[in-house]
Amino acid sequence: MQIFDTLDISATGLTAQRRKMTAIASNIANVDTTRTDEGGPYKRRRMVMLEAPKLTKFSAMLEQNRSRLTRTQGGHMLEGEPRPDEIFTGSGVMTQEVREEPIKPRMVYDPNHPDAREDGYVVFPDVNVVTEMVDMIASSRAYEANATVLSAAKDMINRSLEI
Amino acid sequence: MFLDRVVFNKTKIPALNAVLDVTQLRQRVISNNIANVSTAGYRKQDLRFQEYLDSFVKKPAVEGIRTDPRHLPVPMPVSAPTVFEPESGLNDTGLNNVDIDKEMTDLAENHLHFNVGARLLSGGFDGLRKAITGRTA
Repeated sequence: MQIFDTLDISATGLTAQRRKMTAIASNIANVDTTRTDEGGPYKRRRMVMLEAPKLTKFSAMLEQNRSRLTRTQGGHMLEGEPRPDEIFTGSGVMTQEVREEPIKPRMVYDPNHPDAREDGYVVFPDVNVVTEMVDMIASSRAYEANATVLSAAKDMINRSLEI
Repeated sequence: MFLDRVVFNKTKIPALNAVLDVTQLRQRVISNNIANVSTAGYRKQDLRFQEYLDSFVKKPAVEGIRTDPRHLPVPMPVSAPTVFEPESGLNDTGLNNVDIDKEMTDLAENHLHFNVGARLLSGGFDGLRKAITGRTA
């Protein structure tokens, strides 16, 4: 139903920002991690946001392709424009996780460190705490915006029950 | 149905119905923009709906009577609201052209529009009920 699709869209926004927040938390927590399962220092996690595909629902596609009048010739006119609820807009946002290859890892001279290289340097992850903090604030504001939209949509649904 | 035409279609109810339809759809478009606020390369969407709403209020100069279902309607039905991508070159964030302040304002405005439509619609139904039963509530 169209009225609840709005909630779904906002929900995808909330999920995306929450996942981004998880990635940021993991990056900050692992700022000094020099050992990982795959070997080498921790690689920064980044969430890439993608627009969700516009036509995902079978019903929407069926609705778009179904014409109420049969056209037996190419020259026939179409019956009319679709009704408002048949128009299909986007369906929110998707996320994809990427592990960034370090561009400029933090090098610390500490020959006694168990993970030190032969020249005495330790390679720390390429994580900048300031960048993470800024991303965190942006993400939390975006989360709030989505939550506001969600509560507005909820309010509209409640209001329509009072008609 | 004949009763539909006499009782409902001559009141403001169809127009308010369209208002609710449109605000509902607009809410969807706005939520999609806000959900994609941090999507790189996303292009914001908007809804073109004024013509559609006007068609419920403005009476056409000439109205053709259809005595056969195969007749073309005069005037031609106005196109339903369409989703489009506005030509906005503004890209402050370097990510996309979604202006969060504008979207939140549109959201508030749309919310109020919906509430006004819903309130007027309940008023319309109350009036009908009064006319049918001859008493209030």
